[in-house]
Amino acid sequence: MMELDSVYWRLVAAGAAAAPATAMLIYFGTHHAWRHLRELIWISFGLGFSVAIPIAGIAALYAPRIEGIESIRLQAAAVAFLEASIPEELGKLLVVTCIVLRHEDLRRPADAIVLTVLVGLGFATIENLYYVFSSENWTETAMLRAVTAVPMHGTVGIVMGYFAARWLLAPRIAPFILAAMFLAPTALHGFYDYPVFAIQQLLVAKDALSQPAYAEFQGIFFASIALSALSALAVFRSVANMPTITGLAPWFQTGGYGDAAAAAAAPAPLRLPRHVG
Amino acid sequence: MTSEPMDQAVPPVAQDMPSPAELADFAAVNAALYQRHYEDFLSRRPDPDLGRSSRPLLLMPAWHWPAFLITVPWMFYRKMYSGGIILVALPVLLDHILPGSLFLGSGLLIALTAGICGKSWYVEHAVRRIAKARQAHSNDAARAAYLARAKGVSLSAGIFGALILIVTMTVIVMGLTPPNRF
Repeated sequence: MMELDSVYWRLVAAGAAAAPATAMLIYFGTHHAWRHLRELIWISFGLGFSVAIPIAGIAALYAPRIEGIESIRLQAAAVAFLEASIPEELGKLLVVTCIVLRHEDLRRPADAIVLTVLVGLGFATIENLYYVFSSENWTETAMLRAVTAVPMHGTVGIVMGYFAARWLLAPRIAPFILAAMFLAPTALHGFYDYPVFAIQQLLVAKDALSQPAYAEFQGIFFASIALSALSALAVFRSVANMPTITGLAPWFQTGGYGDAAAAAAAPAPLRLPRHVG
Repeated sequence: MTSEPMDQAVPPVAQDMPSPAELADFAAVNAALYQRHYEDFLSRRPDPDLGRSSRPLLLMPAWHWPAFLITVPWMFYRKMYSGGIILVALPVLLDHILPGSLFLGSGLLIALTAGICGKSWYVEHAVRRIAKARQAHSNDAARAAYLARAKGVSLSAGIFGALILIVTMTVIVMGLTPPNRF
């Protein structure tokens, strides 16, 4: 194992931690389909990045109480939901509703999906950095999180973005859509984290690995990944059949352009790639 | 027809630069302050071709109390999100590289810089936004719709910026920063 005792290896570790989300950022930030969003993509990523430290600090205030819980299942559930998914998704929701959805570069409701994913990836980047730097085996942690935690943040971002797009189209403030925007990603995130934290607890008590609970938590972990992937696919299928979401938003159509003639003269909406809908 | 003295005082503006009135309309709140700063800039650099090929930074030092006292919330309130993000992250990164730098004045240094450059930063932001609206939208109605969303201030973003800053600094001061607690 390479020790992080030199600047060179610390830079390598930082690169490994930031690489998965940064690769996605570069893809979205340079793709022609989202060229009108280029600045907002970087802002969304940066906001996700900035909100991560305050969220970690808030969660740290009540973490000692949660760590005192004796039952592995209860403690894992409390950590997964109270310490991780609820504050993290709340932070992302604040970023999305206070800034991203109000930005002038947002032309189509479908843009909200891309931007919410970027907020999640920004969050995942700093989370990854700290997990990698605090790990005893940083190479394994970086590789494992690149294929699990980072895609998870992206996937829950897709789900939050879907409801954000629906919220943009709601004629007035829609509390149910706003609630779904928070609850659906929180449930998916917590469902993913619960078995991870439970297995961590079992690994601390090594003899517990032989317990049937280990297989049970592994099963829940794979089920949560399958559920997240299916949710993302459901969003893509749903969005693909909704021209109101993929087309220009109302404020860029008649309302914004003033009259039909002006609307006709407006630039044609960009086509999203098929895999995004 | 003879022009009014006021007209003579208005400095020439390059074609792709907004007029002071357009900038005041963009700023909305405390518009006169930024308009005066912009007019001052134009009068000092009255080159009509300014910005036609490559737009220079509109940096002209002038003290601005809101930018000095509440830098990050002010930047978010004024919709300068990129700057706000950098100014939230900078003290945190500095504190990691030079532990204790937060107490040694990195925050004060940032606040002083913002106090001196704040007005120019906002005028620069406004000019760029108006130019982007002109570039991206060919018809007046579309441009007006875009600017209606871009201009003015955002109270919710300002409150968000204040919350982020206060909690981040509290987290650092109380030693709750990762990796111990993430």
